[in-house]
This record gives sequence, structure tokens and C-alpha cells, in this order.
Amino acid sequence: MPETDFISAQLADNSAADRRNILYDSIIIGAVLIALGALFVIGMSVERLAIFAGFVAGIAALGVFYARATKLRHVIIGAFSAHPTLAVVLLVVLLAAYPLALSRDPYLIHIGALAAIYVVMALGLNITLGYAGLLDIGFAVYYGAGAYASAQLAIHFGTSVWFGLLAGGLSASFFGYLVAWPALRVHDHYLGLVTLGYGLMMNLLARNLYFLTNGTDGVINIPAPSIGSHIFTEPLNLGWITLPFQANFYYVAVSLALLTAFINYRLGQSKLGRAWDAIREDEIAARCSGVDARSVKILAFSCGAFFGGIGGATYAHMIGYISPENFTFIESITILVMVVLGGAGNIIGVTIGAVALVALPERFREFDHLRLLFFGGALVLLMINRPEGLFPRRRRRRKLQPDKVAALLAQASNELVKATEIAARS
Amino acid sequence: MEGWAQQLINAATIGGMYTLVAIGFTLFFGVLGLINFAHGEVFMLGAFIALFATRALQGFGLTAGWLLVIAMFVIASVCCGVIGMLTERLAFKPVRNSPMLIMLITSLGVSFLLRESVKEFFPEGANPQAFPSPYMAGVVHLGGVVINYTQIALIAISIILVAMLYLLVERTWFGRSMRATAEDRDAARMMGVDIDRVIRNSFFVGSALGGIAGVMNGLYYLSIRFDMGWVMAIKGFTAAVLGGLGNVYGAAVGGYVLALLEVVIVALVPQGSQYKDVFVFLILIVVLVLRPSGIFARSARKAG
Repeated sequence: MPETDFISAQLADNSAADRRNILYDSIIIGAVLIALGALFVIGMSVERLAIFAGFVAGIAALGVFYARATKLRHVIIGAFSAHPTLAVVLLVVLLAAYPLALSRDPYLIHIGALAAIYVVMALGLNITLGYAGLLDIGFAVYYGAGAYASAQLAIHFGTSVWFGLLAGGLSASFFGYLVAWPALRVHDHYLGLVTLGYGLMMNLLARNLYFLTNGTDGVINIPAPSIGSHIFTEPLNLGWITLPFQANFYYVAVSLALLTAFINYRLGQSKLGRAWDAIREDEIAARCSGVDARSVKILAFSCGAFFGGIGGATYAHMIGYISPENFTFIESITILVMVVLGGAGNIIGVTIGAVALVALPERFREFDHLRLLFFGGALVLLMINRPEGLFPRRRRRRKLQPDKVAALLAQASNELVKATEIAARS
Repeated sequence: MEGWAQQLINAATIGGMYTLVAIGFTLFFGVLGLINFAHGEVFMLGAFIALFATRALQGFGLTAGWLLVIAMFVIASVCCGVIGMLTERLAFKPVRNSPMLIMLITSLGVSFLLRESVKEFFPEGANPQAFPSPYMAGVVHLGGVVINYTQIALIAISIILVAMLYLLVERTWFGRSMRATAEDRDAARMMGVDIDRVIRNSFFVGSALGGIAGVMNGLYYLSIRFDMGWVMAIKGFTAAVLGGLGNVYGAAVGGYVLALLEVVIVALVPQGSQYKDVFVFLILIVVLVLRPSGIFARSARKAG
């Protein structure tokens, strides 16, 4: 019977996964992570354009090779999926070591912090767009709400920055809650237009409501955070090594990014996450199955906005200056593209998308005036060739669990025996 | 009273431009289900192409004012129509059957491409450009209201174009197949309508009208910028939404209604001109949420 063949194959597969060698796998995982980090650092620090072009070509070749080499891919994916905890631990260690290895290069540490902040925001939008499928073209509103709320609280009321981060997130989620109400009544294009109009409107208000935002002058002298007596604008002295002050922000931003990714993952696996999946795939069917589409959508907007606000608040305290120029329409689009580029719904993909879209413009700073030209061209090419993003979301899959399957099979055979007995008796 | 009459004339002039741009949005939405953010850039390109053509023609020694103006309109509309068709062929056709988000991002990409190309490759493209206007000199006094020749010409042109569009949509084979496509693309295909051609032609017509609006904008304000398309795109699709996306006549009226609303807001609300655009966005959101099929829809039928 083909079904039993399938089940036994699955069981064999599972036990094979259990038998994997943890040492071997940890070497693979570590090598892959170190290679990715090294590629990032090399890419950012190569000076000569010709060498950089060669570097890009090398990466492209590597990508093609990876896509072709099925066996290698299986080994790598197998290693990661067999030991996810180990992979996370190694990732954290490597991220923590990044400023230590680059203590002479404050710029790269700063870029790392910036990338982490955008990862937080992109993962926020990943909830709204990737999980719940609600198009939000005004995400910069939450970025701005978080940044202004936290900055103004710290300046005018002298509140702690750590409280400010939370307050920024909460005020942003209030703005998400606000747009969720009209958004409940519209779908698809209209939802996009409503959020777009909302974003533009809020940006204009930020430019004109001088008493709240200082208008186009922006808010200056936003205080930096501190822990105890250690202020974040001073170098970080670890005893045996002194890191530039950017490392302070780097560690905060990266911790926030890791936390956000974890919450994102847990939310995706939760009952709420399933409800989001359901309304994304088919809202009517979801409603029929008892999903409260209304509250689920409001939650999607608020949760997504919350992380946007946290990211914005962190940014405000890191840079020390914000103005309406920081959260324009282009900013909304950039965050949207981070999510779509990586593959909406896929946490790793979105993270890579965010890091790439922070790193690339920084890399090509001398061609800044051409940035939007290339951005536009890249968008069109990407949408035509890989509309699902570079790393498409994988469908939710459940592995068969051997003991449960055995129990089910036993139960089924019992029932069958009983049914045959009953049939024989009558 | 005279102040109001003056404002109404201004609203009619600007409303004509909004209308021409809105018609493009509504046409594209009708045949393709696409909100084409690049349409604002086609409007901007119209102005720049007209400027380029004028410079070239003046270089050849053509200086007669009215000939120049006609040349501007003809060249800009044809060029913009072709550019619109090209964007459709190269960018929108491959993603025609993709989800809405994909089409939206594609149109944003096209929009960035067009705008930045003008900024980079037009001489001094990043700066505002002075726009020649041969007719600006003449003025008509109508009981205290001052109307210059340009305004009269622009109002007349937009009304004539809307009338021609009416004939095109109602009386021609193209118009009928376009309406059929907007109603139900698959059914139209089964009835033998060449969908590709209809979409191509719609892009030509919509983009040509957008280009004409761009020239009108230049003649009216006498100054054009590479980033003026974005503001017009928002105004244009707000007007289209007011009339009901996909409804050509709604768009024609929506442009004038939007211009009128702007004038009223500026006049009645303190610091109105500062908050004018805020109200435009507010109108956009309120109409989308409360009357998604436009303010003229007979029933609350779901559009799109």
C-alpha cells in the first residue's frame, strides 16, 4: 500500500535525522555562518571598485552553485534543521564577536547597528504583510511615531531611554490601531491606497504640527541611553579591549533584532499566527471556520507597528536627530521592499533583505544620486523574475511523529478488527 | 464674490489637469486592475518632452507662438503615449497575472526609473526648469475677474479632450472592447476581443492624456520639476477614486470636484494652504472606506 510506504519512509527519515552527528553538524553550521559574515565584511570594506565587481560576480557564482548543488544544499539544510538551537547559539556568538573582530572599524559597527534596527522594523512589517497578508504602504508612520514619542519623552520629561523604547513601541502600535479601523473595511488595492494616504498625511502633519515635532527643523539633541554610569556615547571598555562607542548601540540593536525574530517566530507558530495564515489565504473561509477576522487584523496592524516603533525609537537615540525626512514615502517603500525582497513571511529571508538594503546603499555612497534609479530598475527586474522574493516562504509542514503514528495505526487496526467482528456476527 | 469667481476659474483650470491624469488611472485600473504609480511620472515626462521639443523647434527657427503650442501638445502626447505603451510591454505585461502587490511594486519601480532618468539625463534635470508660454500675455476682464488666455485655452482643451474621450469610449470599436475588458477580461477574450491590443491602446490613450496634462501644467505654472509627477499622481488617483476607480466618467468629474474642494478648503480653513494636501489624503481615505465605488455610484456595488 503506497500510504504505508510513505509513512515508513517518513519514519526512516526521522530516525536518520536523529542519528546525525552533532559535531559534524556544528562544524557545517559554524562554517556557513562565518562565511556569510565574512562575505558581508569583505563586501563592505573592499575599496577598489574593480575588486568589488569581482566580489559581486563571485557571490553570484556562489549563489548559482548553491542552487545547483543539491547534495550540498541537503547537507546544509539538514544540519540547520537538525540542530536549530545550536545554530541560534552559534549565530549569537558570532554576532557578539562582530564588534570585537572589527574594533578598529567603527563605521562597520555602525552599519551593523543600523542593519539590526531595520531588521526589527522589517520583521514588524513581516507580521502585517507576511503573516496576515495586509498591505501596509505607510509603515514609516510607525517608525516616526516611535522615534518622536521616545525622543520627546526623553527630552521634555527626562524619562529613561529604556522606558522610551517601550513607549515608542506602544505609541506606534496606537497608530497601527488607528489605521486598522478604516483598513477593516477595504481590501487589496484599496487597503494599499488607504495606508499610503495615511502615511503621506502623517508625514505632512509631522512637518506642520510644530509644537509636537519641531516641524521640518526636526528634533535635535536626543539623549543617548545609559546603563548605570556607562553612557552610550562613550567607548565600551570590556577590560581587555576597548570598543568604539558604536558598539554600545550595536549590542542593543542586535539584541532587539534577535528578540524580535524570536517573537516573530513564536507568533507565527501560535494560534494567532494560524489565524493570520487563514485570513491571508482566504478570508471568507477563515471567517466561516470561526476566525474573528476583525480583531485578528487589528492585532496584526498593532503588533507590526509595535516593532516599527521600537526600531524608530532605537534609531532616534542612536543618531540623536530625527526629522520628517526620516520617514517619508521612500522609507515606507524601502521597508516594504525589504520584506518582499527576502520573501514575505520568511524570517530569515526578511532579515537578509533588510541587511542587504541597508548595506548596499551604504556601499555605493559615492553613487548616492543614482540610488533610486538602480532601486527602480532592480524592483522591476525582481518583480518580473522572482515575484515571491529571493527566499520564498515555505509552507507550514508537520513531520510525522513516530509514536503518534504508531498509536494511530494501532487504533485503526483495532477498529478494523472490531468492525470485521461486528460484520461477521450479523 | 469676485474672489470666489476668480477661485472657481482657477479650480476649473487645475481641475482639467486632475481630470486628464485621473482618466489615465481609471483606464489602467479598468483594463488591468493596476494602480499605476508611474502615471504621475508620465505626466512629468509630458512637460519635459514639450520643453525639449520647444527648445529644438526654436533652434530650427520656428518662433510662431501658436504653432509652438500645438507642436508641444502633439509631440508630448504622442511621445507619452508611446512611453506608456513601452512601460506596459516591458514591465506590466510580464506581471499581468501576478498578485496585486507585485504589480504595485513594479509600477513603483517604473516610477523611480522614469523620474530618476529625467533627473540624471535631462540637462540640469535636478533643478526646476522655466517653461515657455507664448500665450501668457493676453488677459480678459470679465466683471472684475481676470482670466488670462492660457487659462481659457487650458479649460477649453480639457473639456474638448473629455468630450473626445466620451466619443472614443461610447462610439468606437476600441471603446466597446475596452469596456468589455474592464467588465470581465476572460469573458471579453472569449468573445474575440484582443486583450493585449486593448490594454496596449488603453495605455497609449491614458498616457497621452497624462502627457497633455503635463504640458498644461507647464503652461499654467511656467515652471516644471522632475519630482512634480508624484504629487500629481496622488491628486490624480484621489480624483479617480472620487469618481470610482474604473469609471471613466467618474474620473472626468472627480478631477473638477477635487480641485473645487481644494479651493474651498484653502478659502475656509485657517492656514488652509498649508494643510491642503492633508485634506486631499483625508478625502482619499474617507472615500475609499465609505464609498469605495466613488461618490457617483448608483448603488454600493463593489468596484474592481
